[in-house]
Amino acid sequence: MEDPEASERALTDALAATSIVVPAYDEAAVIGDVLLGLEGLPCTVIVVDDGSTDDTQAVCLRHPVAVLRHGTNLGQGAALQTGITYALRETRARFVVTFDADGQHSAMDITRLIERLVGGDYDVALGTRFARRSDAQAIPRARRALLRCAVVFTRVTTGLAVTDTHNGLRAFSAAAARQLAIRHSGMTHASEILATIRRRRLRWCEVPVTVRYTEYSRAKGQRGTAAVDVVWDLLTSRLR
Amino acid sequence: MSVTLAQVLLAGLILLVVVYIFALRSVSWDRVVMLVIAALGAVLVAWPGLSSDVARLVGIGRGADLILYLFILFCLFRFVSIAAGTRRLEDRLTQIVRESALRTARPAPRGPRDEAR
Repeated sequence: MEDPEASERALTDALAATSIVVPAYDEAAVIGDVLLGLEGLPCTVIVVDDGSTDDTQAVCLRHPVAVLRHGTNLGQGAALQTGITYALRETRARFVVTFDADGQHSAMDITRLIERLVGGDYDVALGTRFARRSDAQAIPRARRALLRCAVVFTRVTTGLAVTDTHNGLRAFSAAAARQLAIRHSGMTHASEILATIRRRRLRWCEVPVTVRYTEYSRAKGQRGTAAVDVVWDLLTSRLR
Repeated sequence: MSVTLAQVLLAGLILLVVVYIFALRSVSWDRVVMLVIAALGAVLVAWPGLSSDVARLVGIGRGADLILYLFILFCLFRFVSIAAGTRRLEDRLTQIVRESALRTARPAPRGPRDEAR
């Protein structure tokens, strides 16, 4: 019943009205390639340089992207919120995507996330690396075990039956993005986003995405002990 | 193992601190608690024998022990209020840094793509 050409056009329009938020901290070595990869898309790209001490900002300024800079390092959650606020205020985005700066994600997957949101059936599309066996097997063993634990923990604490809790690739409708108020600066924002989805009863779906594990991303990525930080943050989050 | 009055009281106090931390905390209540504790300290100084009397009454050997237990609870309370204060400070720092980042943003340059539209 659907006219493939019309839905193709709807997708192109949606992508043109999509803002991609890329939080970056000391990513000068790879962010240039990441931004090049995104240039194939008609989206607006917003890099939030989270107080990097290397040339991240200089590299980004050479690309046709919006560049914001935190005067000091605040953490990934804070950088995401800054980028999302900017996207909603300045770019009139219909959709907001979050995308990691370390080259783990594939620009192609963004189209597939937006595809799910275009119809209006969902408010949030979450990337998951556990939907396809081949993607899951690409994850280093220790990391996979840790992520599995994170999933169990998140299911218990937020009641959301997601399969991948700490995937940086997500897409939100503007209305959903407006509901986000990330207060945890560090990695706990991943749980916080899911808690918001739950509380606001946002309609969400998961989309299989590929996550590339390179030497670089592994060195840059979270240490296993970050999990302890997340639990600690959640336990003490009521202290204000 | 028999439970002494002191154990019941201390367990109750710990519970009270926990409930306070998670349900009742506010900056002004923190200050009220601080003042009450300071007054308690003054009373103990003014009547040196008092702590020992109370300690014996509830089944703790010495007054010094009673004060030690209360001191530990007080430290717990202070740790929490300081941690909360730090967090408030971090929130403000985030706001300031974010505000300045938004104000000094370099917008995405308008490419040929936009002109074509």
